[in-house]
Amino acid sequence: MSASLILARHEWRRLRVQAWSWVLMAGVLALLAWIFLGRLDTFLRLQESTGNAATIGATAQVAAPVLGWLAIVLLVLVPILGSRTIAGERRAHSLSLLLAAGVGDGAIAIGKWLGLWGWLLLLIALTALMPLSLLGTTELDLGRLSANLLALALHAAALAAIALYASSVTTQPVLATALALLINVVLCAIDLGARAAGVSHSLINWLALPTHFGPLSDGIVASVDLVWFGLVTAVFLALSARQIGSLRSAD
Amino acid sequence: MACAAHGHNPGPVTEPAPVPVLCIDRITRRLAGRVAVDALSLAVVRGEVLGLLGVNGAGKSTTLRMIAGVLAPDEGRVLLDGADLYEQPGLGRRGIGYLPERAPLHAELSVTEFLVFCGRLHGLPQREAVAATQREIERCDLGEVRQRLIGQLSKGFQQRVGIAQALLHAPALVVLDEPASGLDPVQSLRMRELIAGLRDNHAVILSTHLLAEAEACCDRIAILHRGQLRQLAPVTPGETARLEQVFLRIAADLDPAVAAA
Repeated sequence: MSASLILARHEWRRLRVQAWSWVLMAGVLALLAWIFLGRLDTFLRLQESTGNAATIGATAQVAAPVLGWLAIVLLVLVPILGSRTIAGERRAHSLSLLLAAGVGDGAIAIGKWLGLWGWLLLLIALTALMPLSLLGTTELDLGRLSANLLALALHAAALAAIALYASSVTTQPVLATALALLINVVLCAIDLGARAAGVSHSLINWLALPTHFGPLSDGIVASVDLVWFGLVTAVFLALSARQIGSLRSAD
Repeated sequence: MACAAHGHNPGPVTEPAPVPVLCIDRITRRLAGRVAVDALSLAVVRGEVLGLLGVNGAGKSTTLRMIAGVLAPDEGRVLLDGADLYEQPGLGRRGIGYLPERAPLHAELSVTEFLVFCGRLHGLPQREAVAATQREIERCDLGEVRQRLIGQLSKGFQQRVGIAQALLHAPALVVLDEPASGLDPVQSLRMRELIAGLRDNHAVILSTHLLAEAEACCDRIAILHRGQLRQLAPVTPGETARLEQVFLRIAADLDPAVAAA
């Protein structure tokens, strides 16, 4: 097994044995369950009032909003979860274990990222069980639901890479959280001015996260959006690896 | 090659006959604008324990970090079995076991979990990592705490877990930075015995700021001061007296009260 996979499994295990990670996951799932039940209630009322003739299905009315809320929660949750990946190791003086073991800078970055992403995929999978529980009682647009889950997985991958990079530039997890949050906000809001001015197809729009997350979560799987998520993930992973490498040259 | 080991040694030296496991060749490192290690050359052979002795700030930890592959030297080379460690970083994965000044432990894991991970990290297959973990748990006397969380262990046990992780993959070179630091006298004694036992299968380089400790467990002692090698000599009755003189002179340079005493 490669060093990256060994490290990813180890990161996963470390997250698994720490109570705070489960508390965070439980809190997020409770919030999403509350939103899910609220949307389901609205959907059922709508069906009742229209005699089951409502044109909006359960996927759009119930599933998409719940998964949309998860995407928003991830913008805050991932910086918190990822802040300790490198910064915590540096504070605990345990990063030398990886550096001295001859594990490459890229392998460390990918291993840490995979571990964090795996935990986020579990959260996404558990959230997906909520709308999927409706399968026996109503029709779901599984194509759109799959696209929505793909969007969330890619969203989580990019955010995990950003959190990892932020964690590699400081020894303070709090600062790492703040930096990752700032990057996330910039990615989300970078084209707000352009949109307000009515510009929606410029480079600045292309740089913004919602430009790519929106269509994917609506069920439109376009390669340009997949490439954007892949690029953001790869760029921040490369920056993380470079930053880890610089620790070998720094005091 | 400067790996003849005695680049700055002002006194007579005994050249180790076997091929060195470790050669450091005029390595220099600046930290925060200050030269922490200055053109230092040393060699260690299998079956030998070399002690780096010096006061705080002498450059011991910086030297060991460069040897372990954690901190790249500004100049010079670190050769492991003749190959440049910083040109082939993978060499360290199987060839070097490193215990830093603060043991790099994951407090939330049990001793066994952590050691198996370290074995895997150093390239051992799962089955070998488990076997090596059992072996090192026995050797480092960790049997009674094998299932305990590392964060709940005493300093002495944590230090032993740190040594065990450095030995798991049977490296040719073991690098120990102040391994007895913070231990009580009984734990220190056990640590010395453990280190003495390592020379059977490894080359060992360790740092300490205690001359008595270096004399107790090292075959040769290198005295560092302000990043430079001041003395390198084997631990023999005649040489030990000279080492003590050099070390006391350095201490007196730093603290006139020592000179007066």
